[in-house]
Amino acid sequence: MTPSITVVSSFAVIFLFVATAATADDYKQLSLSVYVDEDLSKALVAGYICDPSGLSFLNSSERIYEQDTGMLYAVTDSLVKSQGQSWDIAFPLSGYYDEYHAIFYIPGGAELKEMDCSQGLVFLSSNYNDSLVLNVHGFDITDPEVNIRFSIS
Amino acid sequence: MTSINKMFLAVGLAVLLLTLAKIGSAQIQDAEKDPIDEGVFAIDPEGGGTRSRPSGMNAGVTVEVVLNGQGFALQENRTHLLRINVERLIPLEPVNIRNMLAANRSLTEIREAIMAEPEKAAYRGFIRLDDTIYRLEGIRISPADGGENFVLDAYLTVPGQGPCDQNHSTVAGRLQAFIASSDEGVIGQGELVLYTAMNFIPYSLLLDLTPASQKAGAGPQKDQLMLA
Repeated sequence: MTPSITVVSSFAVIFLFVATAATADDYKQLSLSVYVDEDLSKALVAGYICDPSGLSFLNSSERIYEQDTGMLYAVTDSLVKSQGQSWDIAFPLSGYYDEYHAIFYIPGGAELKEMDCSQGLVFLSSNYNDSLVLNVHGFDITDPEVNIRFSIS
Repeated sequence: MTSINKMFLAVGLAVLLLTLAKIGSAQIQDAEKDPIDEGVFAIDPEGGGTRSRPSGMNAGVTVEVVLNGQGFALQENRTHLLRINVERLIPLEPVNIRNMLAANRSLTEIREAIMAEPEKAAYRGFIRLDDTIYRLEGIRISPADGGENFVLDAYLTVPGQGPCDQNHSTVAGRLQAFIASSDEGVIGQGELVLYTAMNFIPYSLLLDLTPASQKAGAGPQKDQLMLA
């Protein structure tokens, strides 16, 4: 590598460092899977989240958070609520997220009735191995909220 | 990110990656053979796209963020913003989790069961090109030169379009990038191709994949780039 290319590359690296250093520790990301149990009473929440403090609904739930890896494991009965002939899942988070990815696995036989997501979130619905799968994705989201209503046929 | 920082990023990426182009293109040519050859996807002879395995086959728990960053996709005179995320996940059948919950297994037991077979970890990912999200499937991360550099190869997919196809995905393109790691950061350079009914749309890729911890001055995080 010639000296001129070395100088240019170094210059470029400096630019990159300046550009990216300002965002150090600012990137907020989560990738969580939510598994609803067969009784529709509790759920396992597991996956990666940079800061679990925004999951206020887990405050009264058993949870394990590994600080070094960002891995969260929690079992909660705060997510799923019976509403007569249907059930509701409320999944609110507080804070800003550069990247948001949540996947909900609901037991087979479930029929999606209503899906309400914060602006900026998109969702995909599919069926997989006796589960209704709701895949929610978003970027640059503040206080994201997902509300799901489903029934069992 | 402020506009000034975006400008710095654009200039820095463009200049640095020009110097990587020669290295990167050679490495991509040496990448592992096309997954299509191995029957991962069935080619639609009409050219309308290919079918991958059913959606939900990426069911599992994310255990690590392997690659995460943003950059640009350049096509002729147009620049498109691109975000990329690749995770390592432990494949899990939802019914297995439900069985553990029904059996009142403790959270520690559930965590141990999830992490019991780390060798089965797979990759899951997506990119966002402007406002369109593509899932990454058939992800391959291959060592490039015996060092800390590697090649990322993946197919872009979108959900099936018809009412009977929503449980399947359709291949919409392909991404190949050479990822170079140094003390200053992690940079990606490569190509992205979007398939249309009549054509291919090629893009050049420039990516900043430097982990947040490295940006904060903690130094290179080799574990984050460890291959599955």
